Amino acid sequence: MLSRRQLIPIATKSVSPFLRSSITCRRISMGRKELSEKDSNILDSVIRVDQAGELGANQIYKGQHFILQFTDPKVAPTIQHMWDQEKYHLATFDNYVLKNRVRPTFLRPFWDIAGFALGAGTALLGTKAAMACTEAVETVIGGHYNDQLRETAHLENKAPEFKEIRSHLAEFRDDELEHLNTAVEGWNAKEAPAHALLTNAIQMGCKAAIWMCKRF
Amino acid sequence: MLTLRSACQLTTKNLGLHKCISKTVISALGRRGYHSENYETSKISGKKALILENALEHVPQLGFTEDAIVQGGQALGYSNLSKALFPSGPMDLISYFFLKQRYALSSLKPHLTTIPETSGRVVQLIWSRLQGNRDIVQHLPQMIAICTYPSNLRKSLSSLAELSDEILYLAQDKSADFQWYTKRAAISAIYSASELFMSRDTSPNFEATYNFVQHRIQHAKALNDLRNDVLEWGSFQLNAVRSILRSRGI
Repeated sequence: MLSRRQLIPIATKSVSPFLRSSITCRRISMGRKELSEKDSNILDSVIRVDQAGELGANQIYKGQHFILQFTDPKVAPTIQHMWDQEKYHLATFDNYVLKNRVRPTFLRPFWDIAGFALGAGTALLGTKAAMACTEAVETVIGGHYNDQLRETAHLENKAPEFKEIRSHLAEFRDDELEHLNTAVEGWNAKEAPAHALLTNAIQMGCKAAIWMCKRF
Repeated sequence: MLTLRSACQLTTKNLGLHKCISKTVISALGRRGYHSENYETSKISGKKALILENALEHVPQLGFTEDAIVQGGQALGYSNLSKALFPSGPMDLISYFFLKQRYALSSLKPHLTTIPETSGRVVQLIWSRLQGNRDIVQHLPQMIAICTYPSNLRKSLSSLAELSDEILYLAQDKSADFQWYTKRAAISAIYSASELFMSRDTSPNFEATYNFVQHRIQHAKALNDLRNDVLEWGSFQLNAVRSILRSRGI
């Protein structure tokens, strides 16, 4: 019975130094094009910040649902639906993080808590305040996705994987804008108390979060 | 059997690892890139690589020294160029060695598919990487010493971070949250400790080193399970608080 260790292949020493050098260099540079460092950095930050954004959205809806399922049962299914969509968005970006070996944001524990607190806090203020929060967040996120689509436009035809990423960005942007419409037209978000103050503060917070997650 | 003095030295070095771990995490925040299946992002290329490749042939005899680089260059017809081409000297050679060993881990992919557990795959990957040290095991203390020079620390920690990322990627670890960081820090610590252990291991075929790696991974896995239990407990507490608030009419 061979132990598992013995199954590990041991590099052969019989290959001559020159032949091995040639094989090493040739194998590694088999005519593939180099992705430029600038493009690599763009895609790295796009995936990291979007994963963080979808995490934040998840936690906000989780906090809202945590409160509203009891204080306003009529709106809970709508929150649940939007939350389910965000779960799919997050799973998609988690997959991109793993597949493309992108570093996820270092600030994730903070967004976990901040997102939930924001969702639960606005929900405690009432359904309209929760919807104003959704309106503010989705306004910023929708615009952010548009910015990213413009930023990656030149990559569209380079490889199928970039087309796939960009189609997800477009799809998710449309979902976020749908959430925005639901909040404003379906649930009177603009009638929330101190609507302007609330939405402006949340939008500034979201923009700061985006800035940080691009870098950290 | 480690002498008391050796054990103390090993312990001291292990304590030092805790300081390095935070730097490893911080250095992991540094330059990173998008990994594409269609585009190669390799760093190995050109004449420098050829010189270092030949220099590695001399490392078992000469160690990670300027002499090894000079010998490597002479085989290609160069002489006395190492100072200009390789300002960091031995550290450049060590970095190339690390890079080459890291790329070599990819060849384990077919074998890894036969192992069901992620932790089992991680053990095999770390063990395979340590196997790459067999030919130079007598020079490990020297290599580790060079890596810990202040001027070389950033480079060596960066290599360690890249290695832990490679190991977890090849092991198909599915963490994309903050555990991404904690797991990489843990793998870095375990690999460093194992390499130190290996430099003093006299058992046949480094049996003791293999057992050391296994125990460390099992311990890390137990800590991770504990973390999950704590989070689950926290979730229960949160629901309990909400129930209390509801019973008071909120």
